[in-house]
Amino acid sequence: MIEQMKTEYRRMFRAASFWIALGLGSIIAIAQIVFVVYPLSLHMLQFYTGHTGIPPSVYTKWLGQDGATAYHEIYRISIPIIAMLPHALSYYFDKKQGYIKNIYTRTKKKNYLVAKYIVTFTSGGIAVCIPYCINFWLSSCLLPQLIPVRNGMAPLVATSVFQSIYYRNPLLYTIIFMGILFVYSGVFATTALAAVTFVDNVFLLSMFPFLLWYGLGSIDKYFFESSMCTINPMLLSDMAVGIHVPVWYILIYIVILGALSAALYFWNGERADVF
Amino acid sequence: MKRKIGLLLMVIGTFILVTISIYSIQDVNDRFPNVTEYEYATKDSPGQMNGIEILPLEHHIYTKEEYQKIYGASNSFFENEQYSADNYRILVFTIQYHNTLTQTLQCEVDGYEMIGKHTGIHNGVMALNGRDTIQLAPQETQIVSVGTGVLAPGLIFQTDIAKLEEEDFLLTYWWYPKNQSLLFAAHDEIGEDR
Repeated sequence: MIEQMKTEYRRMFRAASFWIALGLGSIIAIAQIVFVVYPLSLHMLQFYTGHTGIPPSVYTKWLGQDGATAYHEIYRISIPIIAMLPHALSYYFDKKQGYIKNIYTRTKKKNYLVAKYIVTFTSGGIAVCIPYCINFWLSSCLLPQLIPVRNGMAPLVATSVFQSIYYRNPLLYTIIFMGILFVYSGVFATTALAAVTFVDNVFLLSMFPFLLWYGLGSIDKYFFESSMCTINPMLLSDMAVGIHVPVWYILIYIVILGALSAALYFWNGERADVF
Repeated sequence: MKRKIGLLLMVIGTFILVTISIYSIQDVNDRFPNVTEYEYATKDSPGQMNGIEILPLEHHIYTKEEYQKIYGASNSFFENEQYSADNYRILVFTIQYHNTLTQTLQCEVDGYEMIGKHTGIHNGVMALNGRDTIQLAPQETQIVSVGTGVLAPGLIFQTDIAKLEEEDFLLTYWWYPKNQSLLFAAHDEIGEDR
């Protein structure tokens, strides 16, 4: 299994799609620096009056928290695509091009399937989180790390998840949500593996994580708008929103979704005859 | 040989990048350090704002019925109709302003953010008489009441509503580089300390 994972990781890092995904994410991350953070850093006190709040802080203006600009929104929408690109389609191509037959003659099905799942999961998380890290690092070089204040400008209120951490230790809050985002990105990347069960078109397959990501958000609008509950993954993994759900809900939601997609993928992978 | 030169250039590049980053991070945080000084104005030690002495007098926590009885707010004020009236609370704060100078001063009276010290609830306030500024003649004193918006689920946990009676509230009027607030301690009106 370890050998198979090494092979899969090698394939992932050598694939152009991984670097394209990283490039796409990094373009958005750096554009946000150039057009939002850098101008703010030049005129740090432009909109500042001690009466209304604090000068711009990295914890309110970096890509992850900058909910007011289009860059944040574009990145949030692109997450399933960026997560899927590095490795999620390789399973489909392995099957289509017969590569999987070579592997199955050398190792057990289970080894290949587990390695593929783990590498797809981590590649999705890495591709989504690295541009975020680049943006956070560059923002930290330009803006001070001022602790956010409860002046009504930040979306987090007393009932928001992890709000007390955000207002006391925003770096910890950022790390926690990066972890959540990593898991969400990983799970949504692996939904493309599960979709191979019933989709036999590479375009549809590549769109599947995006459709699921966006579709759940649309369903959420119709059925849960008036309630405090949400099934929108875009909101649940967004550190800038301040959603009103318990911590366990965020985790259970993604565990259920991950378990469903993993079950479908492994069931189909074990059952399907490739020869 | 080429590989070694490439590796060496990469190491030098990384070193320069890390050095510049560390310098930039340190520099920007030195110029804009976090707030370390917190000033709380109480009944005994009033706050100062441009020659005006501000004194936190008292605060009240009202239910929907109590608030409507006293201030006659219409139902539209309580916009979240899906919740039972028992889930609403409105906080009213009474503040005294005193002009210490020999010239007439104007003062904004709704520029505060209310913060619950322990529950973390926060909300803006507005003057209950609808006037957001007051004018103070030399040595004049005025008393103004400001109220929060409706504190309903979404802004406050159901379990925290019961804790409001024991809560210390801050009305923050200056955030940076020094944090200045009016402190309304629990049991203030009967003179008890927490």
